[in-house]
Order: sequence, then C-alpha cells, then structure tokens
Amino acid sequence: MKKLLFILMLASISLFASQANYEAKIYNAIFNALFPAKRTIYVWSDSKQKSDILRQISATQSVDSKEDADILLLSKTKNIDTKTMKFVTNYQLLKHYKKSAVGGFYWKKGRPNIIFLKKNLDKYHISLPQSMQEYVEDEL
Amino acid sequence: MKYAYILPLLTFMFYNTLYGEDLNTLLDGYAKESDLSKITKKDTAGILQVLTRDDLQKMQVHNLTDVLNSISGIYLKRGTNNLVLFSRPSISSTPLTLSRLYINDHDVTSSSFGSAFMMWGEMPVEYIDHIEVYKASSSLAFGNENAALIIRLYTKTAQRDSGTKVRVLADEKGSHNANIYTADILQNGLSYFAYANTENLHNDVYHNTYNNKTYDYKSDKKSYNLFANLQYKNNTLDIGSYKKENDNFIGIGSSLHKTPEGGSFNAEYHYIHLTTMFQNDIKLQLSYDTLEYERVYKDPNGIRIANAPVINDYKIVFNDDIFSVILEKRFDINKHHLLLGAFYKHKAFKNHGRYHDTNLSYDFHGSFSNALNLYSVYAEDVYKLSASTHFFASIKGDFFRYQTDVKQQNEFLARVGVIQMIDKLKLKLFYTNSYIPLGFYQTYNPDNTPYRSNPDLDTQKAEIYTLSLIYKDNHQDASINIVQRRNKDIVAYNPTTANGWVNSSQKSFMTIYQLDYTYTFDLQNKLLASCIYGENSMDVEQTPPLEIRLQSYNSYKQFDFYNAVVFRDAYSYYNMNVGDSYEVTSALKYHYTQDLSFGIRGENIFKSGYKQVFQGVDYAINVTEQKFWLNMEYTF
Repeated sequence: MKKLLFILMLASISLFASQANYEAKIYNAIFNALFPAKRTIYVWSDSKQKSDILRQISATQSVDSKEDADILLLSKTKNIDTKTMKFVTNYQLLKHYKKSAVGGFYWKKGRPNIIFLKKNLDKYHISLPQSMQEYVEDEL
Repeated sequence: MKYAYILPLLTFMFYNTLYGEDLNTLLDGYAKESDLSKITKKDTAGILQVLTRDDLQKMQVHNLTDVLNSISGIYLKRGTNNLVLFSRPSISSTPLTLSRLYINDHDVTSSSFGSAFMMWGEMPVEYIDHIEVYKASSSLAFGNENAALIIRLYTKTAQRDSGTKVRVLADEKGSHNANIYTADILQNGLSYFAYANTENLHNDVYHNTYNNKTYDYKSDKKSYNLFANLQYKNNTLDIGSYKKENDNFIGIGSSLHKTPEGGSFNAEYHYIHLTTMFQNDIKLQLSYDTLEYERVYKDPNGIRIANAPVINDYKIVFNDDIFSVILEKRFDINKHHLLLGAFYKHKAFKNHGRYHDTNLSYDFHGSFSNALNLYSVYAEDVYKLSASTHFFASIKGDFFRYQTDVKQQNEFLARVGVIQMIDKLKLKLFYTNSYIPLGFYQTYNPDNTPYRSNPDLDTQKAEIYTLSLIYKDNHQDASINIVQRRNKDIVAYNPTTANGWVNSSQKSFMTIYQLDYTYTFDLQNKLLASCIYGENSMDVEQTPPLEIRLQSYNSYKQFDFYNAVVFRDAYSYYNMNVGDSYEVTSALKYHYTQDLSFGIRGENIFKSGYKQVFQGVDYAINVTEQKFWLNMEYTF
C-alpha cells in the first residue's frame, strides 16, 4: 500500500509545470478515462515528440507495433484501418478519422481543445466520468 | 497481487479528482505554458518585456500604441503631424532610426525615414499572437539594420488559430474598428491565415486663436490593413498592406503660431516576405517593400522651411522601394551556438516637393532620388561554459554604397556579454558599440531648397552599457536594470546651416534606472510594478524623468480584468511647466461562451494622464485621449 501511495504522490507533482508536463498530465487524464480498469495502457504513436511526452506518464507504455497497442495516438498518419482505438492530435486528422477516432486533443480557435465523439465512444462501450462529459460531442 | 484490483480503482479515483475535475485547469496551464513567446524570445538581445497572448487579450488592446503604452519607459509622443513617435524619460527627441519594428521576420523599414515605425507604430494588433519589446538592444541579435529599440510582433498562425474570428469595437466619440481573420490547414498541408482590418478613429479637437480667428487641431485617422500568411512545408510567405489617411493635427506652421487650415496625409505601405528553411539550419529570406507617403500642409499664417521665404502650402511625396535578401546559418559545435549571417538590401527612394505661398510669388517644384546598396555580414557566438554561465559575442559590418551624391560609409558593431546564474539570481552584463543609421530625409534635407545632398553627414555613434540583476522564483520575478548610452557625432537639425542636418561635436550620455517586480498569484492572476528614472548629461527634463506604474491582470470565473496606473512626474519644456500625471486604464471582459465575449476598456479614464508640450501651442495636450471602447469578439 505504501508503494501505491508513493506512486500516487509522484503523479501529483506540482502544478507549476512545463508545457510538456501539462501535456503529459492531459494525456494521462484522457487515457485513464478511456481505460479506467487498466493498470498499464499500451500506446502506439506516430510522433517522436508525443512518444517522449508519453514516457513521462507512469500509467502508459509506448509500444513499437500497432498490434500491441490499446490505443493509437495519431499526429500525422492517415488511412490506418484497424479496430484499435484511435485518438488524434490535430483537427485535420480528426476530420479524417471522424468515423473511427474516439476523440482528439488539438489547437483550434487559438486555444487547446479536447473533444470526444460520442458515436465512436459507444462503439468501444466507453462511458466517460461525469467530469469529462462536457467534452463529449455528438459529432464533429 | 491482492492490490491488483485496488490499484486501478484508486488510480481512476485519483485521476477523476486531479485530472477529471481539473481538466479545464490543466488546459489553462497548458495554454499558458505553450505561449509562443517561450520559443521566440531571446534573453541575450536586451532588456526584454514580453506581452503574451493572454496579456493582450486581457488588456483588450486593438492597436500597437495601446501596447506600447503599457511598456515602462517608453513615452508615446504625438507628432505635430499626427503620427506616433516616442521619447524616453527626460529626453524628448528620439531619432526615428533608433527603433525597428518586425512583423514575424519582416523588418518594416523605409528608405526615406530609416524606420517605418512612424507608419506602423499604430498598426492594429488583433492578428498578433504576442509581442516582444527589446530595450538597449541592437540588430546583432536579429540581423538586419541596426536599432536600439526593437519591437517584434508575431502573427497568429493556422496551426493554432484555425477558424474564423470577428471583432468589432466602438468608442463614445464615434470611432469604430472592425476586423476579421480566418485560418485553416488544408489536406495537402498548405496552411493559410488571412486578416483584414478597418479603423475610423475620432479624437478630440483642440483649438488655437490667432488674429481673432480660431483654428482647429484635428487628429482623426482612418486606416485599412490586410495581412496574409501562407505556409507549406519549410516555406512561409507573408504579405502585408497598410493604408492610412490622417488629419494633420498641429501641422508645421511657424514656430510662433500654429494655425493649420486643410492639408492631408495619405500613405500606403505594402510588403511581401518569403522565408525558406533549408536542411542544416540554413535560412533564406527574400522581401520587397514599397511605400508611398504624401503629405500636404497648409497654414495661412506661414510655414517656415530652411532657406525659402515664408510659404503657405507645403506638399511632399516620398516613394520607397526596398528589396532585401538575408541568409543565415546556425551551428552547434560543442558548447558554442553560432550564427553566421549576411544580407543585401537595395533601398531606393524618390522625393517630389512643391512649396509655395498663397499668391504664388514663391513657387518651388523639385525632386530628387537616390538608392542605397547596403551589404552586411554578421556573426554571433553564444558559449555555454556551464549550465549557469553563458558568454556571448557578436560582430557586424555594414557597408553603405550610395548610387550617387552621398559618401560611402563602412560601419562596424560589436556586442559582448555574460549571463551568470546563481540559484534564483541571474546577472546579465552587456556592452554594445553601435551606431544609428541615417535616413534619406537626413542625407537630403527635403526642406532645404534647391535639393542637394549633405556630403559631410556621418552616422551617430553610441556605446551602450547594460547591467541587469534578476531574481525569479515560482511566484516572484524582480529585476534591476541600469542602462547607460553614450553618444557622439549626434545628428541634429540646425536650420542656420547650409545642409540642415549636422553632426554635433558635443558628446552626451543618458542613463536609465529601471526596477521591475511581478508577483504571479496563479495562472490567471498577476501584479506588475515598475519604476524607471532617466537622467542625461545635458541635465534637462524635456519629459518626465520618473515613471512609476502598477498593472494587474486578473481572471475570475468568466470575467477578465486589466488595470493600470501610470504616474509620471512634472517636467518643463518650451518654457511650459507640466504637472504630475497619473493615467488610469481599465478593461473588463465577460466571456459569455468560449467563443463569444463582450468587453469595455477605458483609456486615460480621469483625463489626468501624461500631457505633451508642443512648440507654438500655449497649452499641453493629452497624449492618450480619454476613451471608452466597447468590444465584441466572436470566434466560429
């Protein structure tokens, strides 16, 4: 139990953090909301920068193969045809994957946005916590 | 294994409380920490003040003068011709070429005036993401032509601002401003950002009575702006355009009485700038600027210019064409970060003037033209001796080759400095050996008829010593800055000489002491205090030597607040005493939704702000007009 508390304390390091730290915390919150029962979430990313950020998150582990992943974090790759859950990091890609991606975290209108697409969440039988319902949209 | 079920449950609960409920806070923090100024700012370039996107939004600024009014030690100045200039504590006159203004990588320059600040100093800023103001700087940090005050504006981009935004403003005097921008990234990777702005500005009318007739000092302004940015892979294209139509304000009538009647100002500036990044950190920039500047003054009681008799009508037109190529390469070798650069700039200018009196007993027509080929090479080395000790040195050679009339000149600049960090303290020491470039309006004095060049004029030389001591922790940011500028070969206008502009044999110095303190309560709330004092070797106080300002940026729920109080002490100029001033600016914004907001901004709310003295006018005039702007912004 002490180990568990120690892990939780580590995860709650100061909110005075850098851009990368904030980004890591945001992905951490998103992935844990998508996979509430998983201890380790396996993530495949097509961006080295995002992979570096994911390394800061203790609850995720980067994988080299899409087949081994619980979720694909996509920043540029189009036309991936797989049943593995997708989450994207730019708006153009979200438009491209609007029928399959569960959501996206990207800049638009001068601010960072998070969106979850309800229809695609339903395909994976995901029910987000109440605190994240404000980010759920019926369509893009 | 017995904890296997507890861990996911606790983790879920933990992230629900820390991240789930606070995701908005995390997004706010992420937006703050992602401010582009963190990438673009250059600490070694001078005494830096950054206005982040969040600052600009809270202030509800709509043009650059609103922004510069919030910078300590920069005293905005109303030109008698209704353009915006600036002065420093204790010193009224500041050469035009002392400042340079960059929009992204583009230096908006002018052949005629040396700097296009007088044209762009009140540009709209809704399309600007953030602003950096470098004082006690030099061009060595950014290439291009030399200046001591560098204002860098960075435009919004499609990468962050895809969507469309409309903003409209109106004040109680009938002024209005409307602008729109739209941005997107296309499927082929091409991104665009396009912006348009129109402004019709109404100001108070002042009066002067002479020989039982009242004359008006009007300072209304109209302007139109367009900007476009295209990005594809490593190429960026910027296109900018600015058109102005101003009243003439006080004009240039005889120094004894200013009695303008009619007259006009029309100017257009257009530029195009291409930046290409090659592999191995090679950066190539090509740009073209063109300016047409037409000024008509009329004064029935006389305008005095150089060696002509008293005239009543004065018309002058300047045409500038500027082409430039800049090539830079950056290297990282061991502990050295090297920049090598070179540029070529062709600056052509034409001038046409007509000066006459009412009955045409004197009627002069004249024109002149010239071109300058400016070659420049520069290098900068930042040597990181350790994580806490950085040295840097820069050198630059500028070679001026005029097409005709004006003597060739070779100028050299050098800058050395050290940055030492000791725990939360940072010490910065700089020494700069520099000069101030000449504008064509100085090498040819357009008031001096018949037109001829000034063969003996040299550039003004300057040595700048800068010391900064900075303390920074999680909440506090405090600094002490001392800048001394020593000038020689000062370029001054002397109407009694054949050529007007001359190099003074007198040396001078100016010292600025600046204290800044910022307390950051949290991501959305901060308080700034600054105190600046200026003194000069001539022991004159042509502007207030002391300025103290307090500024606060706050947010509460859906409201944003900005408040500022600026105190400047008394001064005396042209035998007129001006008392202490305190200028209050406040802005309140209500975010009805994330996309729709309404705001109000009051400027010089109590009409007790800084007043400026004008020769020939027997009262001082507010530099910032009392105004209340209503503001609506909608993003879709």
